[in-house]
Amino acid sequence: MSDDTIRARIRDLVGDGGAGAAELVGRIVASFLNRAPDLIDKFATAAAAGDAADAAHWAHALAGAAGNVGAIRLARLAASAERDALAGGLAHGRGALDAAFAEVRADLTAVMHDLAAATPR
Amino acid sequence: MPEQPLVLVVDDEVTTLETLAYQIGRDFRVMTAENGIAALAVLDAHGPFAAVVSDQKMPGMDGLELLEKVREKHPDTVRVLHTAQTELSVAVSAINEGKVFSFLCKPCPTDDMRRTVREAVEQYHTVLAEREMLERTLQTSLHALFSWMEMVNPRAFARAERIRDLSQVLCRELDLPYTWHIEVAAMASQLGAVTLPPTVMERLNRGLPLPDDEQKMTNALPEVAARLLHGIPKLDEVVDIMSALRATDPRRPDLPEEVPAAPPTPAVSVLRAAIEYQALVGRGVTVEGALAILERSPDQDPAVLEALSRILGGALGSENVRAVRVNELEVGMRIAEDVISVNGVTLVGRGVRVSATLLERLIEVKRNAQVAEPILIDVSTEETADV
Repeated sequence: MSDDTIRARIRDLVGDGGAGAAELVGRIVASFLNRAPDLIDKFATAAAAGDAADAAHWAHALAGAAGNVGAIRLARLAASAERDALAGGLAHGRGALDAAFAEVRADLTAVMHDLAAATPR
Repeated sequence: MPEQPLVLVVDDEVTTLETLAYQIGRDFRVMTAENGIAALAVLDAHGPFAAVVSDQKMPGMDGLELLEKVREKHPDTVRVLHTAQTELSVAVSAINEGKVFSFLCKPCPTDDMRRTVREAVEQYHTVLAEREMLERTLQTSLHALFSWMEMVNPRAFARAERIRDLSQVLCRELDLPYTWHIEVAAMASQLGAVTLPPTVMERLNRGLPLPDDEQKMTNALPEVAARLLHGIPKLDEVVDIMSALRATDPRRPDLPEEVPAAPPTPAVSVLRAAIEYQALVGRGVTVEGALAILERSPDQDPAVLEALSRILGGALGSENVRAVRVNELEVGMRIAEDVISVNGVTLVGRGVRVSATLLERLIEVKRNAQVAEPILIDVSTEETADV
């Protein structure tokens, strides 16, 4: 499921823009892959410190970033963590987020690999 | 080749911002901001922007608040809300409060994003084009209206031009912005005179006492002008100035006491002084006499009168008049005395600057030997000639 939405989103972004578009989208994906672990860390740190507002802020950022590359499952998990934090619940561990992100990374890597192979240079 | 329109995208999530810049950047120039405060600063510093695409949930200022501020400060910029929040309340607020052009859900497909921004930019251009057309239409209509006044009542037109020029000099002296509203209000201040019978106009010009019925007609002149202008798009401010002039007009003893006596705006004070001054000198009162009368009037603003005194102080004694034939007239010269036909009809009022059209008309009349020559023109310096 996650793979489908990610693949659809990346295809949508690249469109018929050719190698140039694929390269630009590749940079956006790389930016997300670099940033997401940091967002999960910040969320977990804030949650551990009992800072609900900060935890909600980082969870929201993660949800937005994940949704942007079509990683819907990760985006939903992050949005749920944000809602819980806003409701005062900080029980959300990072385990589920880490696991979901690992899947997203694998999916994105595969999609970008396929895209690179299919794009004429 | 014209520059591509500028679009601002606002999102606190940096990868989303990069994606939007990539999606929209194919068709338009794009600038980015990571929050509402930064967005407003970018709009102020780099505008005009055709459209702004904003995230809803951002720390500090949310998207709706930002778009509301954009609407206030940059009303032409078309606003698009781009949000992951799908609550009906957000959409309703976006439309009702933010008056957004479109509402996009995240993640937005590229085609939808590009189409929406393209439509937003088209909307921006449509609004600008409509306004430009309205302004051109308004300008042309006003020109036609005042040209008609010039034909029907040259003296009233000439007085209106003198009031306009004096208002401009007064604004400059007082360091006030001289807006087109003041210019139109100055010209329109004499518009009602076209309804006066020539005999009444003549008595008025000479400062002769008027019978009650004629005084009533004269008192109604500002209402006539206000009625003529009322309802014309974009002239609300001019009508407001006219109404403020009328409300405390010292020549209106018939005004009800409950007329609101709000403090006059600087534009009203300037026009009031210019109109009264020109009315007095038009009746033959000397410059010094007119100033003394105005200074005794409680309706005049002392600061405006001081400025008027400074201006006229420079003009006193500098009048310089030359007599010319019609064929010696040049565009830009100012008529120093009414130009009359051989049978006594006023053709051009004192104070009017010679335009190409006016020159053509006088040459035509002259061909039929109808112009009383010589014509007196004011050749004093430009500063003083203006008053």
